[in-house]
Amino acid sequence: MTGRTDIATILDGWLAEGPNQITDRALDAALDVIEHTRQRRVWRSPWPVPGMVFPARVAVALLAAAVAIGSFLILRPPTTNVGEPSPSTSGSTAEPTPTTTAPDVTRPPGPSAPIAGTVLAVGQMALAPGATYSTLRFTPAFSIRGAASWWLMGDGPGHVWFNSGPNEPNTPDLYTVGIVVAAQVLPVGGGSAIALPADLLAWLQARSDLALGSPRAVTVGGLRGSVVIGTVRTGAQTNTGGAINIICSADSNCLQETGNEIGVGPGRAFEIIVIPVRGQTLVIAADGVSPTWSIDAKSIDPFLAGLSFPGVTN
Amino acid sequence: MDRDLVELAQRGDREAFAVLAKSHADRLVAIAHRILRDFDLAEDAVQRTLIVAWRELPALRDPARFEAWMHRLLVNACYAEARRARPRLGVVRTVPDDASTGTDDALALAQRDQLERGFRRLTPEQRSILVLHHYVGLPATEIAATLGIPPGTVRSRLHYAHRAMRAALEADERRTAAGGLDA
Repeated sequence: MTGRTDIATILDGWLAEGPNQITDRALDAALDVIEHTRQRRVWRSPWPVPGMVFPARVAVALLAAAVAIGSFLILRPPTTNVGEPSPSTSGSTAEPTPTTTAPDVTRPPGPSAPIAGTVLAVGQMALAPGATYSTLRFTPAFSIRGAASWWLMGDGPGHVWFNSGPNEPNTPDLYTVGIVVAAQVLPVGGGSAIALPADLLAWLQARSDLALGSPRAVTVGGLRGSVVIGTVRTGAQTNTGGAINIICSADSNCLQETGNEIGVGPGRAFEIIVIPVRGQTLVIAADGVSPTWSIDAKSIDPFLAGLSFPGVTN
Repeated sequence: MDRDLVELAQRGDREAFAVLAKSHADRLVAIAHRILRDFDLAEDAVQRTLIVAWRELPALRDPARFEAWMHRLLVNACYAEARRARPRLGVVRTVPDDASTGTDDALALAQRDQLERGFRRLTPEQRSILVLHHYVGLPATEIAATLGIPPGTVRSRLHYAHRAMRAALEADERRTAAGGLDA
């Protein structure tokens, strides 16, 4: 038998083995990208201001709360978008939306820049089931309802990534949902990014490395768009990460290998939703672990049903 | 020294960040390799980490937490690389033909191979916690603070990961007891 102490000792020794040095090429490449990358400037709350006495802090807090509540009451739209049916265009088994049981279902949506709910943080965070999260950096701003096993993986003005995994032994697969303001596209087989085509779905349909179904109308988060379901064809040329990057976000470097691109691995089913909004092309892409979308959709569609774009129309 | 460099880099000093990057990159790639079990993917993860770190550094409130923050970014980058490279993660490392010279060596190699197989079956989340615990040497509470998850989740993932790794080794021991090593 291999006991608890044994396995810890064995792992200590085994994990000590292995390479410990990055190559100059890799480090130089990263520093070269950084040379041309601007830092994100952050707004720093002056709170707590050094030297501010407690009553003054309370007064500032009350004032901030009053402004937030006032803004919310003035700017909130008359109708709700929360709890739209999931994009069931795939013919998959439509899951009942969790809206009916979520505790915040009756909460009116916020204005175009949502103020209700927890703000999605920069970097990874777990989403609490039933809680509502709002974006500040992404435009157009949206809210998403948290669900078990779903995580925010990263975000920016033009992209937000969510992942889901069962977090159980021997079940390593993840579902991924990306919401992207599309800026450019990447051609088949690599090469430089090119301008976003006027008809993105038609361009996707014409790609030789994708097998896509017919586009269908869909409503997601209160916005009307079109959706296609597809897979990456076997033998398609992929990048070193084993994926095909297709669509660049507005804040991406539009590289084949890194950045905030929408990409899919061969043999996996995916869903791409294209939504025109405010002169921009919003793309929601989701993929999972199965070659059959209807299986992945059972996990992904309920999550997308918790998406809303308060105050945004198209 | 790191704190001064971090503060300079937060104000946009690329040279200061380059010094930080060079001093941390080897450690980061070692951690990433142990999570991803692929050196190319590990370097990709470190590149991604460094770029994100530079971009987001002004948002780091406590420069003293720079290393822990980098670990968090690195683990996120490893998750992303694991996701992008999912088809490759199922590939099991082959043992070099010339590595086995005797019974003891063969046993050690067999054990390594079982560890490799067992480790690759873990989720990226479990792998990262095993590496942060057994390689970086962080206790569960520090892992929880680094990754921004509850300590109970860390302990749970650690428990499942240990159990899975132990099962992988015990399967090997049963095969050995039943008639020797696999060819």
